[in-house]
Amino acid sequence: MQYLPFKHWVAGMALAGFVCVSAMAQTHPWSNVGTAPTQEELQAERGTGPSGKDLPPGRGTAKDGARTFLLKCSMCHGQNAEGVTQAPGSGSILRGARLTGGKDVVLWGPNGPNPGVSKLFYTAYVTTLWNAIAMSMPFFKPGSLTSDEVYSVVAYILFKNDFVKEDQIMDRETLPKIQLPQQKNHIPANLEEIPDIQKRGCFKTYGVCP
Amino acid sequence: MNSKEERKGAKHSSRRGFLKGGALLAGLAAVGGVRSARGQRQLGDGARFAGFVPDEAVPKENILRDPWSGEPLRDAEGSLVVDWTGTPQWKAYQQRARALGGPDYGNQEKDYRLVGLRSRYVTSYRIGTKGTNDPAPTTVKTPFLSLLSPIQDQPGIITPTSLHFVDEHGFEQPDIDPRKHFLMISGMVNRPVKFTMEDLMRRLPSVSRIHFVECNSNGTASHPVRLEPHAIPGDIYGEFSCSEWTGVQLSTLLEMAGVQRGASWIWAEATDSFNHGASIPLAKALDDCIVAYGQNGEMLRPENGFPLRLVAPGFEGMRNIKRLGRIKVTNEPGLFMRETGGGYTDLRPDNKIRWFRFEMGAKSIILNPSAGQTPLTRGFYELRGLAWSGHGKVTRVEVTLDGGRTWRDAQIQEPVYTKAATRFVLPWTWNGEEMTIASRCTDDRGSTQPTTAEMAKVWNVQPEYFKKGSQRLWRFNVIQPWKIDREGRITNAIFAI
Repeated sequence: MQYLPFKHWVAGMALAGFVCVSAMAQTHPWSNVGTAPTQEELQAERGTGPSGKDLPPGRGTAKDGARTFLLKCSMCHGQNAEGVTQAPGSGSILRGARLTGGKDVVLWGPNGPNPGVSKLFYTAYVTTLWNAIAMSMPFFKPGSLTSDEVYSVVAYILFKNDFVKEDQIMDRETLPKIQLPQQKNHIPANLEEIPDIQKRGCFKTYGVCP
Repeated sequence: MNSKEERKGAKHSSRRGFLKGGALLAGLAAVGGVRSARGQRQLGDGARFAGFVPDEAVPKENILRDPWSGEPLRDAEGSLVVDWTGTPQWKAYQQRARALGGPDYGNQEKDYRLVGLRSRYVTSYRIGTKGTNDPAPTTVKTPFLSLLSPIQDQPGIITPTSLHFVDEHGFEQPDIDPRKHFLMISGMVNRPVKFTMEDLMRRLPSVSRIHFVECNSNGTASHPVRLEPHAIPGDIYGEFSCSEWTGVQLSTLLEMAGVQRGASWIWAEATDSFNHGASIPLAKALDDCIVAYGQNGEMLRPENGFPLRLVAPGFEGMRNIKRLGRIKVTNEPGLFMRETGGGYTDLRPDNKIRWFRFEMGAKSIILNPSAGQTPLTRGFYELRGLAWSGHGKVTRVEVTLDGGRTWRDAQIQEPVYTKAATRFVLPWTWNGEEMTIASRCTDDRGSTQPTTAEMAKVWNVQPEYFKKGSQRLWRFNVIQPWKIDREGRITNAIFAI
């Protein structure tokens, strides 16, 4: 085997070092692609996590929400939030979930999940209710409600389930503080554990989460 | 005549159509270029072709048009692009072909040349309806709220785009103009940024990878026909499809935006009738997520998310956001409507709700032989099927021919991609015996498909519980057996193993 002369080795290492340093300093040639979004476009982002830190300013009570609910939600969810399944005369082809009477509901019945239980009552955090209404509702016109309307409709649904009083003000401070009964029943309950597959352990037992 | 037809056919080939479609997306400049080329060049010797039709004789409604300007589409030599279906000229062509070739020819009523058609003897179709509340006409008596892919008819690992399963959280796809669509990245980033489709498709580095998309509920016992003896593979695992996805790696986009310290999640959101959103851990987003615009060599189709979708390989289909418009980088999960509230979570007898399972477990199914096929006759068959896992690569597929008493290794065929459909085959001779056959998949994380008893143990229920067809048996990857009787008839034997 032929060995490299030492001075060549030194020169090679110097060159390699230079290449490394310059590569690290370099930005990608495509790094300027794209434009900055406008303030308006950034505000189209309406979702919020359980901390509520992304909630916008605004406020509303169940009393305010009743009117908005009647105008914009009741055609699918019923005048008393009881849920509508393509009811004749409702003018709606859509099925809206029951949104009332979920406070002390037992999820698991004798034959499996209780059929009368709306998916709403599984909800762990109240901000999910905000997300559903602010981002996805009304169907086909998602995101069309103002922040005040969303706060008040959330308050109305919480009132219909006995979580708040009729005139209790919901805003970015008070809303995230509402505790829902199913929060403790979620696995994993600690949100920080969710991204960690080792902690979730879902691949150990047949790929089924324990 | 034949050679003339060939030349004409080449001029209007589907490939040209695809390239032109791409040019249209990129900008009107391309169309302008075509026009000037037309000005400089004389028409070819088209007038000598048997099928040549001068521009003025082309039925106007059959001319393909630019979707933005409404101007007629012209190919690079300036000739009109025409779908001749239903025109007098196409009828005349059919008569000529019949005169030359006899009754087997000239039967194609549709002009197949621009985008192609399958043989009329191929009848694969999607099963079901589309989306919740779908008012579109259907003869389906048990409402089934997704379009299931006919997986029994899929010979390879790629699902044809036209047969890809469709689950919509609304039902009607919006008519999105790709020139007005953009993807915004905001939240905990140094530089919020907005990309147009042209940025994504022409400027940024791209990848093309083969991955499956599978619904959380694929194989669940609550699907209408799932437990019936006559259930065919499409009824059982029809919410599974595998495609080549082309797009920009999400890590490329996030690096450009500059993710801030402390971020741990991204929220991906659609822009459609529902603005469906989902949370994905940042580690996954930086690992192998793709912001895809291409599927199987063409632009995404509307039911698969045109013009842009997220592909989160191996994760439940619900997180592969179609019509992707916004990505927010943040430090907590969004807990959006579909991530919580029963739709994609598991409630078990302990009244605890399992959520955020992400990766789809290992699954496999024997497609030949399978229920729905004509009965077997004695002799040699190639037993074959598909296996996949959301955790990674398929490392082993075993087949039982005796109802689960003994298992032998099937041969796994190349190519084996991670989080993709994988073929397995086993040479096999049916000698007329009654038997129960099944396959089970093991992935590179070491998880194997469970038997019914093993699954019941995880769930802490009696195996009978699954047979009730209860709701929310998501991620039901129990081994799928087929029963073969002495007449060679094949039926669904779920729970036999």
